[in-house]
Amino acid sequence: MKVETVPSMNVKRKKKRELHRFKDIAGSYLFIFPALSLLFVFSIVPIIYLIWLSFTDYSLPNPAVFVGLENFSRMLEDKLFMKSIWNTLVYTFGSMVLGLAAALGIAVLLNRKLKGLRFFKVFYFLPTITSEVITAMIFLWVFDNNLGILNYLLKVFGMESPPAWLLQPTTAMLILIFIGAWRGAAYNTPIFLAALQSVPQSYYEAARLDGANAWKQFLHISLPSIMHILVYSMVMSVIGSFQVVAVVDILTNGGPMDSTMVVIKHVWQQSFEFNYVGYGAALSLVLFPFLLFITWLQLKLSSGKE
Amino acid sequence: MRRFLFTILAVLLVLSGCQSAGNSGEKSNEKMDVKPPDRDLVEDGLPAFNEKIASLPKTDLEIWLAADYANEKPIQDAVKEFQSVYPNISVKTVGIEWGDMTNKVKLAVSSGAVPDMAHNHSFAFGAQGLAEPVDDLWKEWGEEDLFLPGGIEDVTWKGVKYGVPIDINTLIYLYNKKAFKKNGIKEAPKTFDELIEVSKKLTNKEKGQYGFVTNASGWSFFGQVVAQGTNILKFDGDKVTANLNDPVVVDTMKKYTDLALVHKASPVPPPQERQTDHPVAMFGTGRAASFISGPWDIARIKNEFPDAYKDLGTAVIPAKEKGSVLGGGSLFVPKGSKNKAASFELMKWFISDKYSIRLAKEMGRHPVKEHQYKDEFFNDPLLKPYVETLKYAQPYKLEAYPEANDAWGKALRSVFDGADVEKTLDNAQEVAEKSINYAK
Repeated sequence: MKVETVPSMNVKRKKKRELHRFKDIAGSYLFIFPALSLLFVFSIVPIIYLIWLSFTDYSLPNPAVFVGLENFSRMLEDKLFMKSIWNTLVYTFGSMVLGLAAALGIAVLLNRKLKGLRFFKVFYFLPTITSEVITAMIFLWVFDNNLGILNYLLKVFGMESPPAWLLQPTTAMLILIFIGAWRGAAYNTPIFLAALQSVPQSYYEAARLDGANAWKQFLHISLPSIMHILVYSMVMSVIGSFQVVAVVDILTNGGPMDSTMVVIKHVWQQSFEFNYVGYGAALSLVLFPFLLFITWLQLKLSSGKE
Repeated sequence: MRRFLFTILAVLLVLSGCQSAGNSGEKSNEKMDVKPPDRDLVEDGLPAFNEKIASLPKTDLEIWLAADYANEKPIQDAVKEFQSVYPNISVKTVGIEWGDMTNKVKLAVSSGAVPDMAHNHSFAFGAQGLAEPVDDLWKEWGEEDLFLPGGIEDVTWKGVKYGVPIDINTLIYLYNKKAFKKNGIKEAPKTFDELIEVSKKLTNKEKGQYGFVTNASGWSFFGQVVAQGTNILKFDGDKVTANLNDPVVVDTMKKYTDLALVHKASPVPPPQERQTDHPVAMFGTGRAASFISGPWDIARIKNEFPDAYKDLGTAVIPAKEKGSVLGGGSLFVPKGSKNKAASFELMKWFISDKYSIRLAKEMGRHPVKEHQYKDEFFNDPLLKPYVETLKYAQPYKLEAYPEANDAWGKALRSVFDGADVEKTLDNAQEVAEKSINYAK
């Protein structure tokens, strides 16, 4: 009878363990393979292709011609691109601050369980599920200076020449910010409400015993408790605002005098309307580190506060 | 069990591969015996039976028409009748938004999955290398002389034909006869200066009524430029140069925008890209007494504002010369399609006497052949100025250079927003020159 030695048993056990580990890892990869392959085909490959295109002069249907850094040097002279970045930043800041503040306010009110709020709960999410195009059309018929309902009412109330809202650079941008904030508030309200509802009631009870009023409770309990959600919403809001195009397209078409030209509209115009696909790729490539930096800055600032 | 399932799957995959290979192979070679119909097609207002098309193997045509054409009855009936005469050709119609057609065709041509027919302005697609030249098929057809010169212009770029015009239109002056009578104005203005005076007279600030409605569409304003006797592009053989800051263009833009900015006889156009709804709404609701648009708005006013239609009058554009911008559209074969001949034959059917008149009556899309205007339908007095202007209308060729086209439209918009006319047109000229050079 052959007796196995201790070292040979250890080796066998080790091999068995390794086989189990391998099976575990292989199994895990097998499960995430479909998702990863989709991510690879629809995200990673296009990004790599975009990087390649940004170094080419490409006009459909002609083949792409490598031009080195020409597109990037052209970008530095593109005043409209710079203006569109500035306009997008103004829009982003305005709609984010207003939208998140409104969402927080509404969430706090809803969390207070005041009478009649259940009725209101049904409606606050409506702007999010309304398509951007329909939203823009609604506001078009509100703010149009000749046929809009707002100017009609202003005239009824005695104003002789009401403002041409969409034809003045400042008011046109303010209207876009208002619409962005309106949609943003609707989207973020349930997120903030869920976050507020997860704060333990005992904190508030303790604060009340210490004599803290409602404002102090909000400032020192509610706000710090939902800070991580607030930062998440800010990041999403910045990314979402940078992608704004449909509302601008319908309402102002980037005007007056390019005062509402946003960056994605400019990229789209260069790539598809003017057929400078290579240049459009370079423009969108520049946006990536820009967004990454803003996101990093927000995370840094919020972690400092925490 | 697992092995069994794997085997079944593998067999199914192999079989499906064989099936698809079999289909495509079969379709491309299968011949059909197509005989001429018993009736005389020409007598029925259709193109003569084409032996060449009848002798083609089984062919699938995919045609991309503008969304507001694709499902209309005259188009569908033409396709159906075409297929009954040529059963070897089957046609699949796809509706695409007019504004999306350029991108869709560009992507299709680049990817190699091209349709066999598309619908837009053929010359612009020919200029960008996206359409097949069809001079040989035109020569074979031999009916070029029947077309209005503007229709041929819409398919021609640098002497090469890239398609077949399907319909044509141009701009006219539409006015409210009752408002004119009420203000003691006996007839429509004949010059631009008269237009200014009449518009001022018809404006009533207290009631919020305007004499005229301007619009900020570069295409539409080009009609004014043509009517004043010039063009924004100069053609010298194959050489094209920009002429956006020509003194006549500068003067016309100044006068046109002054109607709103200085004389306050028109509202400042809204900022949206789509400029067609605002003038009709202003006119239809009685807030404006006149505007410039195409015959399609006659039908729109009739349907949407029947009261305004009762007092509607039309006239040629008030200007020094005759003419305006030439609109409409044309059909072309996107680059790379292998079914050029069959596609071209179907185009001939769409604009045959039988279907052209139906397109006009049922869809408000007017014919491209001169003799088709002898139909009693065009005796309508509202259409007379339109038919008269058609002879002198010029196509908007700036569309072949998308960036220049954008600069032109933006220039008009900026002037309405308060920019200096001369400086703005100088800048637009610079952009247009660059764009034209890049295209070379």
